[in-house]
Amino acid sequence: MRIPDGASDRNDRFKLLYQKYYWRIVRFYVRAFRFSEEDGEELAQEAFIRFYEAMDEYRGDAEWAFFETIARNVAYNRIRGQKTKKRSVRTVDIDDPEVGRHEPPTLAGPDYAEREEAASRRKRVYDAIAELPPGQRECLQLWLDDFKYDEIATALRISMDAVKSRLRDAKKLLRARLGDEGTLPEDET
Amino acid sequence: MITKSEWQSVSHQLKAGDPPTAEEMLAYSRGELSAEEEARVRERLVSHPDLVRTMTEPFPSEGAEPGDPDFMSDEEFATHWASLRNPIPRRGRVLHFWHYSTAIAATLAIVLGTLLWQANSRVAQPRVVWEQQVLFPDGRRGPQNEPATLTAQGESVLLVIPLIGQSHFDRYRLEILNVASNRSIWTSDALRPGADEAFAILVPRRFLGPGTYQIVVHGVSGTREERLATYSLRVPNLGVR
Repeated sequence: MRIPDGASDRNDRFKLLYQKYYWRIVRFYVRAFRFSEEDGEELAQEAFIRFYEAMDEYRGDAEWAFFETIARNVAYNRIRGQKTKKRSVRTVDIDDPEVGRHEPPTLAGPDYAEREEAASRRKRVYDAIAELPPGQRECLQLWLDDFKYDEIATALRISMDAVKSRLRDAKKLLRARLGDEGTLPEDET
Repeated sequence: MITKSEWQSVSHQLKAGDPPTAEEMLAYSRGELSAEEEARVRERLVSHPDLVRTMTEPFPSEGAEPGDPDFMSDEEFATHWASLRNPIPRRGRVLHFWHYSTAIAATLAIVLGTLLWQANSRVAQPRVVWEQQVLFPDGRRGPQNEPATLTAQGESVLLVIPLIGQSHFDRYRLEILNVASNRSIWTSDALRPGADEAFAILVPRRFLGPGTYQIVVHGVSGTREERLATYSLRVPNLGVR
């Protein structure tokens, strides 16, 4: 029992915040954390309960900053818990295209030389990215994950100009190292 | 030309490390970490794009006002409010009713549970979906060192590959070779093992015709790949399943 019965100023204040923000928080969880709406609702309720328990200690802007901390905390803990749980057992389904590729013996696959060439190309790319300076590599990896410049800047806590310049330098280094095959997709046009 | 998916795939292989904790994420986003700590968190953060996304989405700062579809009605709030609070203890006759209904519900649960268990047992008996078999590396199966014989039954077999004495790599690539044709019939991406330092490969029986196979474990460390161990497996000819 965490929320007591009966009316009070505190309960009224909580009610108003809940009514105003509940659905916006649920949608934030769905959009930012990619949770299902059901999980988003569960987390939003958990966040509001925790907030209720300590809301008297904060007022005004501090109150909402405090709520944001709780709301993010609840979600980060859920994500981390899910990732840790997933990692404890590693079972690989060979029919899962996400983890590997198989060539049934009855079907003709790429020949050995072709596979070797592909593996060698992947290794060259791996080496080239691994050897980039950390700042450039981090920008490049987020860019390859389809984040926009401003999103990369926010995530890495650097300016957008720094993102652009690091990406430019990374692309230059990759081209120098890999030749024409080091041209990144967006550079083709 | 290297395709975008190849770039992305290689980039994902380079990613490593546990996701930052909630406390680290919050301190990082507020700039409260030292330069070294920040660099460490940033490196792990980049490996988890789902967490990056959480930083790029603004937290709601404007609440909905009455009349806005996002504004929760008093009726809906009352429902939520009730579920947020624990039920109030009840007394007297209601409590008796609770006892009776609980007793009936418990009896029903036992009867239904027993029926369900019996039904499951009957359904499960004639058909084995999959069984597991633990394999040991060549050179560690005794003096004869013959390939292990597949004994697991079922539509699929779960081949457990323990990493005996090879757990110093961050990632591993698994490969299945058909010995007769000397061909690779399946290969995985570079994978991180479980906490139990083993992989389990779920293989449909249709995939393994009679013959001898080798499961090869390659250690992947940065740019280096090293063949570590081979687990030979003989699949006997047992006719059509």
